[in-house]
Amino acid sequence: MDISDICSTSLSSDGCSCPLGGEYTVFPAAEESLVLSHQFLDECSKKHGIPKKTARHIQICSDEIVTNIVSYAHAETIRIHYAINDNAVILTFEDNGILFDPLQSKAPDITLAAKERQIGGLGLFMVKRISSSAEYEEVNGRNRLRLSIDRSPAQ
Amino acid sequence: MKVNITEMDTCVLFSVEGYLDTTTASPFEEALMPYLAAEKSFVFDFSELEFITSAGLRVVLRTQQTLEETGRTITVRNSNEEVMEVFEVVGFDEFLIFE
Repeated sequence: MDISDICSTSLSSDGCSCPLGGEYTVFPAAEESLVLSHQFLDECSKKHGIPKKTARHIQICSDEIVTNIVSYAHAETIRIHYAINDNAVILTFEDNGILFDPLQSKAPDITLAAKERQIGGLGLFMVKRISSSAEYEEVNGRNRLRLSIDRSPAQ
Repeated sequence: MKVNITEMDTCVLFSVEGYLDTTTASPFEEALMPYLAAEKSFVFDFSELEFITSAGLRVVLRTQQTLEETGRTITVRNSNEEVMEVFEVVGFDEFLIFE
């Protein structure tokens, strides 16, 4: 997987010298993806002293995104990039599967009673609600989803 | 993820440790299954639950739908802020009982 689209300079295995800085991980899109992404994000959040609330928001969003990629995208690899600025953690998920913009998904009706509810659709809805911003782009035939997760203490 | 189960007179208490996401939602649902046919309402003690994702929410929703058919309820205890926030965002606070 060519990862020079996000980062224009050469990269070390765990550090990123692109404008965003931060670190990244690349792994095959398979069942193990969920454990690997969880571990990676945990380590990054700990390393940067990210508050629990934000760290949990990050895990929730990642679970939704990575699960969807593994289940539906028929991708070979997933790349997760973790960067921080003063206000937020910026997560970028990139995969080489079927092109799909998750932000176009229709929101479920959350006012329905339990027995009328559809089982699906909650994951992406939650990602949009939890993240302070979300952007999708197709980059050289690959999916790239960038989320901003607020890390201010008031959040 | 661990589920500790205590069957009481009027309800079944499930205490969940860890997190409920894509990897742990199925074992959670399996732990609930033997008690779906019983006559008791469920209580989920979430004091040790770090967070819940849509995979966990689907289990909660399916369980709620099943219990409702026989007039039973789900009571949730001791959710942390992030768990509570998720329930509110998806509107589950409309049918779950919170203690």
